[in-house]
Amino acid sequence: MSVFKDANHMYTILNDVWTHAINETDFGPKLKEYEIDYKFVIKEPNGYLYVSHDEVITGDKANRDAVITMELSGDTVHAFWLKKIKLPVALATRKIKSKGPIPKVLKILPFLKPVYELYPVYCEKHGLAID
Amino acid sequence: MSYLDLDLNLSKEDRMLKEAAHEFARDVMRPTAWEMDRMTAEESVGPNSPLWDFKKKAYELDFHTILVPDSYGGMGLSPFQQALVIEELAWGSVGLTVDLAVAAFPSFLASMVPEEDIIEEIILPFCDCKDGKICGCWAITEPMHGSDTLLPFYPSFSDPAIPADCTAAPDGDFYVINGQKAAWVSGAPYATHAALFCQIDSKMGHAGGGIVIVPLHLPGVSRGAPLEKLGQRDDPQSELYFDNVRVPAKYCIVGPDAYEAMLEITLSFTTVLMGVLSVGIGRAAFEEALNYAKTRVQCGKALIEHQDVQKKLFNMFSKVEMMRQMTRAAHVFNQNTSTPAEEYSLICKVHGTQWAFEVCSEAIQIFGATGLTKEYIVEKLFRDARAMMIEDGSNDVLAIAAGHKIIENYPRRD
Repeated sequence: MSVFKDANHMYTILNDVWTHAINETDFGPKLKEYEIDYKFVIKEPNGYLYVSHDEVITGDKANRDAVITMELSGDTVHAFWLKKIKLPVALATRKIKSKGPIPKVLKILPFLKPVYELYPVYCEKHGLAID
Repeated sequence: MSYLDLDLNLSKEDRMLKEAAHEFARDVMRPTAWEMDRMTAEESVGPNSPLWDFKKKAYELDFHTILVPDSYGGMGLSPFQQALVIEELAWGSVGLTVDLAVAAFPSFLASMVPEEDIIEEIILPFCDCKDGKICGCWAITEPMHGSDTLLPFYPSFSDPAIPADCTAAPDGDFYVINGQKAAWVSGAPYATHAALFCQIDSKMGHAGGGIVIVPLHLPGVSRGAPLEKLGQRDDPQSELYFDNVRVPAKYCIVGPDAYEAMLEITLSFTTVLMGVLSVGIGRAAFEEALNYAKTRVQCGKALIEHQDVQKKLFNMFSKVEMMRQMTRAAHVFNQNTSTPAEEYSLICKVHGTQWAFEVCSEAIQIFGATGLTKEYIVEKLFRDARAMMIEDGSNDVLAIAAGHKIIENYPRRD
């Protein structure tokens, strides 16, 4: 069973985190500068998330073309943002499958720091355990 | 000499990068490599070696950061641009190109784990360096192991009965490194950091490895004498010894849980780059042979007018052109997916280096006896290309590993 109650629970948390990240931190401008947008294809709970420099979309509308597509489970999403799993380990062990230029994946990594910091805050706000 | 690029989508930036790399290869790398080839191994890393001036010039132009993302100050090249630039550098010298690539290895691998300490202590100082004094090496090869440390997912790779020569043992906030890496570690005589691939969990055999960034100034690190060898004498190599070297655990990028898969990702990258290097050296030999054949007269006419020479040149040209297309395609594909298809990288390494060797050998044949002398660069290219058939894994063993992968994975679906 996933750490998220259902897709809506997951969307609520991820939408809040990413919206804050693109609007209030360097992450949004860097996505624009590097011409990167993401589509996350999530399993258990099943869902889609799209993130660009100026919008966050959840649900079926988010199932659109993006520079980088990442497939992963809801539990991996949770573990990744809690820094319980490193990206190379997740990629190597196929917990995350990535399509799109690996150099772009790597160059944006340092700007994800605010997301790491925000995620536990929003988990707490929406009643998701972080232990 | 430039070449017709069959890719119609080359941007202005791509062309500028290619030209800048070619100029550097022609004006700096060729003369440096030529001089180092005539030195002893000891002299080539001595105070009067042209290597240091080469490194300074390469670093000033940021060529040391080809593999590093631009968010850290690296060149941030696309996979296609990496292939474009590396071919040009290899045209100038395979040995010096390898030296530049491995210099970036610790930072390249560290960029996958952007922890603040690693960024501050490893990546940024390397990218900011402009005098060539911060440089890495890739320490994977071991005295008792040849290509078998490069065979992830091959049955022997997980055999605990096969011991490793270099180990890392966890000890609180540190790893304690003991053992030895073989004499084939490029850049080891002077590297400041090693991307060390070593064993952590012996129960898993080679698969129980880890990748640790090791600052080589730490107590307990020592180095062997620079190696005298047949080819790529412009790529100084030596052993690395570790005697209870304590490395902060935060410098361990990957542990046994993901080592085997991470090694496969790394090798998908490095083996295809060996193919790109093959294109560069093969093209260099082809161009030398073509130019020589235009001027050398035999039986009353230029060599170029003899049909056998024309056929030889066509075959050489074909091998270079075919391998360029294959290496670019494999590199771009594997740099766009997190589950790389290593067998395609292995095609580039095994056949690219074989063809580069054949092209260099044919170049000598066209030169005739003069090709055997040190007066012409084809003699050096031939020796350098010969080394590539063993470098980064013997072609024989890698072909077996590739066969194993094809049997396991064909047809791949992503």
